[in-house]
Amino acid sequence: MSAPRNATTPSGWYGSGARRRTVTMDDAQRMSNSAWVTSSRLMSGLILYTGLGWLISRWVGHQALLMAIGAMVGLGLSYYLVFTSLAQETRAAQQRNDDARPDRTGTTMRGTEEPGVS
Amino acid sequence: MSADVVVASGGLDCHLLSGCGFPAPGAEIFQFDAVFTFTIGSLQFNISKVTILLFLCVFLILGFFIYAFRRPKLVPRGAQNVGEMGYLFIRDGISRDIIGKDGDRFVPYLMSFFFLVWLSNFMGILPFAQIPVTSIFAIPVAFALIVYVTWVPLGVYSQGFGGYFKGMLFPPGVPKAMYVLLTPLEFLSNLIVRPATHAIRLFANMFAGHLLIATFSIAAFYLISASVIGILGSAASFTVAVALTGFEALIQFLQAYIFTLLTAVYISGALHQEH
Repeated sequence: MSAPRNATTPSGWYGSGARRRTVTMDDAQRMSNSAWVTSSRLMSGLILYTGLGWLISRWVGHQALLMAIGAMVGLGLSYYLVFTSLAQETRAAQQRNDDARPDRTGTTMRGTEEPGVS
Repeated sequence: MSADVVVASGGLDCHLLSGCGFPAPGAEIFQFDAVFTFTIGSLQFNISKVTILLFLCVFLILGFFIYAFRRPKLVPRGAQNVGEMGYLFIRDGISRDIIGKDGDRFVPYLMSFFFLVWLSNFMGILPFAQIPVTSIFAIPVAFALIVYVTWVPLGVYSQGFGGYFKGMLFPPGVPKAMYVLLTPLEFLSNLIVRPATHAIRLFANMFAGHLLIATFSIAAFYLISASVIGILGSAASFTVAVALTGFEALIQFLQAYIFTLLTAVYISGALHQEH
């Protein structure tokens, strides 16, 4: 007896939609890059703007105040950068996922649908 | 316990009850006198134990892989088997995962780094060597610099000068005005903090691990005395030192892996246009 035409490998959660949300090699590569980039962005935001605050405070006075403000601004900018680039990446990954997924409507023959897919 | 540690621990008769105080190890256990020196032109070369160990690592790796692949057979046996396992580990575990199919031409590069860093780290727990070569800051810095001068020109070569630096310094999806604040941040992050952390991560792990092992080894030696606390403490310190040595073996592999992984991440970023 041969397997149904659109049978998938029996591994994973058989019949659930979970296995369709696959992480491709490309996604993994992008993720590994952004994971490492995040830490260096947080660090450099703090260093740069704390340093800038310190330099301005040496020029103006108010040593501690401007340095603290600089640190907060720097951390805020780092977080902003991290979150916007991660959002960008998620959107791009979603887009790729949608493009890659085969259009199933109308092509599935009666009786060969996978069990459990609603 | 190596001779260096005994010397560092304040002499052979420094114990708990002799009133000499605990000779805690410091940065001096990472300083070695030159075994011999020579000069070429106006440059003076001081060859110390660490230098000799580094060269030993290089020659061991060269020797092993030349031996393993001297007459490669279709069905590998013995040393060739081990060599191929190492190659496939780097190719499939790091290069293909991070860079992709076009990273195959960088596998020899990544492999050299992985095995050199691993063996240099391993010198920390090898009897008689007992100093991780990478715990001398200049050496991880040199490694990280070699990686740095690889991926920056590579990025310029494969994406063009404008395209590469535009992708690196101007993150997409933010308002134009924000670039005034974010471009310096990205410059610092990508071109300065990245290579610096690459070197510091390896150095600090090896430095701290060696210092820990040295501290507990010295404590085991120092606490030997005719008292209950001395005997129990010495035995406990010795046990901890042995356990830490095993732990270090794991960390050494892990740090070599992370160093190579990051090298692959940087090369990948240089090869592929992001966003």
